[in-house]
Amino acid sequence: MSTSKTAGAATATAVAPDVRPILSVRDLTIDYLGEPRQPALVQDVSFDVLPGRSVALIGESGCGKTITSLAVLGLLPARMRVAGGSIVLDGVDVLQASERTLRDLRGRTVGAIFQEPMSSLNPTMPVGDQIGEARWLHLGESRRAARAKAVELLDRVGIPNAARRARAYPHELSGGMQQRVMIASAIACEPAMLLADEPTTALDVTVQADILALLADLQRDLGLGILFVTHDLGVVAEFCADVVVMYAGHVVERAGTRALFAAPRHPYTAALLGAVPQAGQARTVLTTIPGRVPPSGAFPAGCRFRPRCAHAVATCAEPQHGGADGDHFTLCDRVAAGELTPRRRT
Amino acid sequence: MTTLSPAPVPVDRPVAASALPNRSPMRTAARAFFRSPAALSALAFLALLLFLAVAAPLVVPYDPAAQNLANRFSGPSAEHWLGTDEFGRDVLSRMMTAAQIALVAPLIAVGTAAVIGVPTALLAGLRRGAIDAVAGRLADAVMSLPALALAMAIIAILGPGLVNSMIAVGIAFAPSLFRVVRGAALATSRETFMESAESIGCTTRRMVWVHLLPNVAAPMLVQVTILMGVALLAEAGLSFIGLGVQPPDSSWGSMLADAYQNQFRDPFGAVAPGAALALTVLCFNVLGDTLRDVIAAGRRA
Amino acid sequence: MSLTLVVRRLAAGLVVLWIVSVMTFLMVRLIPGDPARTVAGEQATPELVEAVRAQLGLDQPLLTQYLRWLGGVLQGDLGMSLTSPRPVAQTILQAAPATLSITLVALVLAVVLGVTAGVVAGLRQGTWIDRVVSTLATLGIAMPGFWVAMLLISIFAMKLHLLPATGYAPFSEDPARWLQHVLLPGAALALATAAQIARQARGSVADVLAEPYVRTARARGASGSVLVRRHVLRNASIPVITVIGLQAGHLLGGVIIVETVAGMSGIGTLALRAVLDRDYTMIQGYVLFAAVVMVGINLVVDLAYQWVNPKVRAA
Repeated sequence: MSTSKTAGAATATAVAPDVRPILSVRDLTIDYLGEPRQPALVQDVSFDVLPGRSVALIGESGCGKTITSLAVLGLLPARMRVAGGSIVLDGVDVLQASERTLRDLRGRTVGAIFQEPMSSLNPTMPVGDQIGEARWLHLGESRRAARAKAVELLDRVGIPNAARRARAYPHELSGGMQQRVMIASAIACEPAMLLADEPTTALDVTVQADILALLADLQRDLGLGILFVTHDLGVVAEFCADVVVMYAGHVVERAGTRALFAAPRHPYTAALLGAVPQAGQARTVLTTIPGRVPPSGAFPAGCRFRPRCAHAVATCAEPQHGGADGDHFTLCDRVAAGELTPRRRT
Repeated sequence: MTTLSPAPVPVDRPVAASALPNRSPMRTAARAFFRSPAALSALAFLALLLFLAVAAPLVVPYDPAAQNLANRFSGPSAEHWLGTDEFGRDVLSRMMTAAQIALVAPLIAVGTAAVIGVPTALLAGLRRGAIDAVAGRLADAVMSLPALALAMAIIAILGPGLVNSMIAVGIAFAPSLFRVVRGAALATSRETFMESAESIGCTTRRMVWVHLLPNVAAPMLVQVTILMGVALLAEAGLSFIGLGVQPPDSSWGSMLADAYQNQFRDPFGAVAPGAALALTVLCFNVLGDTLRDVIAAGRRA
Repeated sequence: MSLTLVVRRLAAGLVVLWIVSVMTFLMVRLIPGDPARTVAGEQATPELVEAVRAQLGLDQPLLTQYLRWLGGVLQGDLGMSLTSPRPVAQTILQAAPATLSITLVALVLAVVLGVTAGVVAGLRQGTWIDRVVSTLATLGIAMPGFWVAMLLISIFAMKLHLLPATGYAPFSEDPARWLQHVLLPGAALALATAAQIARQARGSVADVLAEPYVRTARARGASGSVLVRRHVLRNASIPVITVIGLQAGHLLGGVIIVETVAGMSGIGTLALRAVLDRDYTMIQGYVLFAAVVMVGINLVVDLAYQWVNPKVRAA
C-alpha cells in the first residue's frame, strides 16, 4: 500500500529535501490550563507529513495523539493552550494565524475524519448537505452546485445510489457508509492533507479493510498527505510509511515503518510490538505492558514511561534527550548511548 | 442540567479517579452534596422553616391573631419589622406561623402523589404487561390536563380546604412521579442482577424491597424534592383564589389574597409573602437540582 | 413529514380525549352520597332532587348515561349550568378569548425570551451573561406567576400608569387595547415558563457544542453564524420543544389565577365560581375544554418535534 520501500524519516532533514512537507510540527507543547499546574499534556512533539505519504501517530489512549491532531486544526478544547513550538500547515503558521485564516485552512487545505462516524455527522442534516457545505463555504459554489458535487463525491467514495443517498440522514446509513460520507466530506475541496483520527476503530473488521483501501486509493489520486492517528499497529504496518510513537505526551520514537517494526529502539515501542500477535509465528508468547498510562496530572518527571519500564534506572528520572540513528529517533538516553538494545520479545 | 458551567473534562484523558480510594456512588454523591454552598444554604433555610413550623408559637414576637385596629397598615417599623395588616396584625408573626402550612401542604400533596404513583409505578415497571399499559394510558390522560385544572375539578368533589385541595394536587401530580419511578424501575429490572435474582427464585416482594427500591430511590428523591416546590406554588395559587386554606388559618398564598384585596391602601403588602414563597420554592429547586447533579456525578465516578 | 404520522398523532390525541371524557363523566358519579341531592342542596324538596336527578340523567343505567352524554358532547352540547340558566358550552366559549389571549401572549413571550436568553447563555458559557441568565432562570422558576402579576400591575399600571390595571378588550374590536390589557398578565405568566425554556435551551446548546459533529463542522471550516444556524440550533431545539410542550399545562393552569389578578372574567373565574357553587356540568365542560386545548397544543408540539428530528420522522 505504501509506495515507499525505503521508509524515509519525517524529520527536518527529510530524505527528499526538494519535497516540501505539507505539515510540519516542531517541538509542539500543549498545557492544560487550571490549578494546580500540570506537566504538559503534549511536550516537544515534532514530525512532518509529506505530500502523498502517510504518517502514523500511535500510542495508547491518553497519549496526546488526538490533542496533537486537534492542535493542527487549531481546534484545541478551551482548557488547553499551545505553550510552545510551531505548526506550519501548507506554509501557514497555524499558531500565529487569525481565526479567519484558520477557517480558510480547515476543510480547504486539510480535511478531517474522526473515530465515531455516527456521532461525527450532524443527525438533523442530510448527508449530501454536509458534504457540500465545505464547497460553498470555501469555493463560493452555489448550494445547488455543491449538492450536485456531493452526489459525485458520494459516488467517488463508493456509495451506490449516490443521488438518493445524498438525501439520507446519517442514522439511515450503516457505519461503514457513514465513514465513507465523512471521507467524502473531508475531501470535498480536494485538500492537500487529510487528518484521520482513528477512522476505522469503530468499524467492523471487514469494513475497516474497505475504508483503508479507499483511503489508499484517494491518496494516490489526490496526492494526499495523511496524518493517521491510531492505536492499531496492523493499520500502521499496512498503511503508513512513517511512524511517530507517542507515550504520555512525548514522542518516544520516530522512524520509517519498516525500520521501526524490524528493530524498535524505545522500550515502550518494543513492549507495544510485543503485545501484538505476529502472523506466521505460532505459539509465540504475547507480552503485556504492566500498569496503564498515568493520568495527565500525574506524569512522572524525566522519562514518562519509567514506572512501567523493565529497564528503568535512576538516571531515567532526568530529562531525556535521546538521539537519532540516521532517521531513526528515540527519546531514550540509555538506548541512544548504546547501553540498552530493546528486544521485541523478552 | 447545572446552572453553572461545569469544568469540561479534557478529551482523551481518563478521569483522575485512581488517586481516590474506592467509594460507593452514594457516598461520593453525599460528599459532593455537602460541598455545594448553594445546597447547604437551601438546606439551612428549609431547616429554619422546619424550626418555625414546630416552634412558631414560642418565638413569634406577637400573637399572629391579635388585632389592633388602631395600628393598621403601619408599614415596617422597629416594633413591626414587616408592618401590620388590615386588622393591625403583625405581618412577621403571621408569616412565621404560616411556615407550618408551607411545609405541611406540600407534604400532603407529594405524599398523596407517592401513595398513588409509587406502588403503581413499581408494579408497572416490574411486571409490565397489562398493568403497565393501563396505568401508562391513565397517566397520559391525567397529564394531558393542566394540573391546576384537574385539581380544581377534584376540589369541586371533595370540597375546598387545605387538606382536600392538597390531596387534589397530589392526585394531579401522581403521574409525574409515576413516570419517573416507572422509568427507573424498568431500567433496573432489565439489569442483569435483577434477572439473576429472579432466576434464583426471589419473590416479587423481596425483589421490590431489596433490589428495586434502592435503585429507584435516587431519581425518586430528586423528583419528590422538585414536586415539593411545585406543590407549594399550587397551594399558594389555590389559597389565593380561596380553594385552599380557609380562615382563620392563613398561608402565604392567602396572605397574598389579603394583600390583593388591599393593594390600593397597602401596595407593598404582597412583597413579603411572595418573597417567602419564591425563596422556599427556590430552596426546594436548588436542593433537587444539586441532588440530581451529585447523583449523576456519583454514578459516573 | 408523512401524512400517516399526522393521522397517527391525531388518533393518539383522540384516545387521550376519550379517556378524559370517561374520567370527566365518572367524576360527577364519584361525588360522595347522592349526587343529585348534593347538587340540589340540603334544603331541596324531594321533587327538586328528582328533577336534578333527571337533568343529570342519573336515573338511567351508567352506560346509557355515558353514551347520551358523549353524544351531546360530540355535538357541542355540554349541558346546562346547574346554577344559572345558561348552556355550558356557550358560556365557556364566551369566556375563552380573554383566557386564551393571556395564554397565547405568555407562550409567545416565553418562547422568544427563553430561547434567546438560553441560546446566548449556552453559546457564551462561563461568561457574565451566562451567569446572569442562569441566575435569573433559577429565580424565575421559583416565583408564583400571580405574585409577579400583582407586582407588575402595581408597578406598571398603578404607579406608572403605563398600562391598564384590569379588564379586557377583545382583539377583534381593538388590537392595540387588547395588547395593552393582556401584556402584563401575559408577561407575568410567561416568566416561569421562559425560565424553564431558557434553562433547557442553555443546557441543550452546551450539550450540542460538545458533540463530535460540531467539531466535524468546525474542521470543515464552518464557524460563527453558519455553525450556529446549521449545526447547533436545530439539534439543540429538540429537547427545548419537549419542554415547551410540558409547559403548556403549566400555562393553562397558571392562567386561572393570573386572570383573577388581572381582573378579567375568563375561564378561570368561571371555573372558580363553578367549584364554589358545585356547578358540576360547568366543571365537566371546563375540564373537557382544557383537555382539548392541551391536546391541540401537544399535537402542534409533536409535529414540530418530528419536523426537526429526522429520526422520529422516519419511524
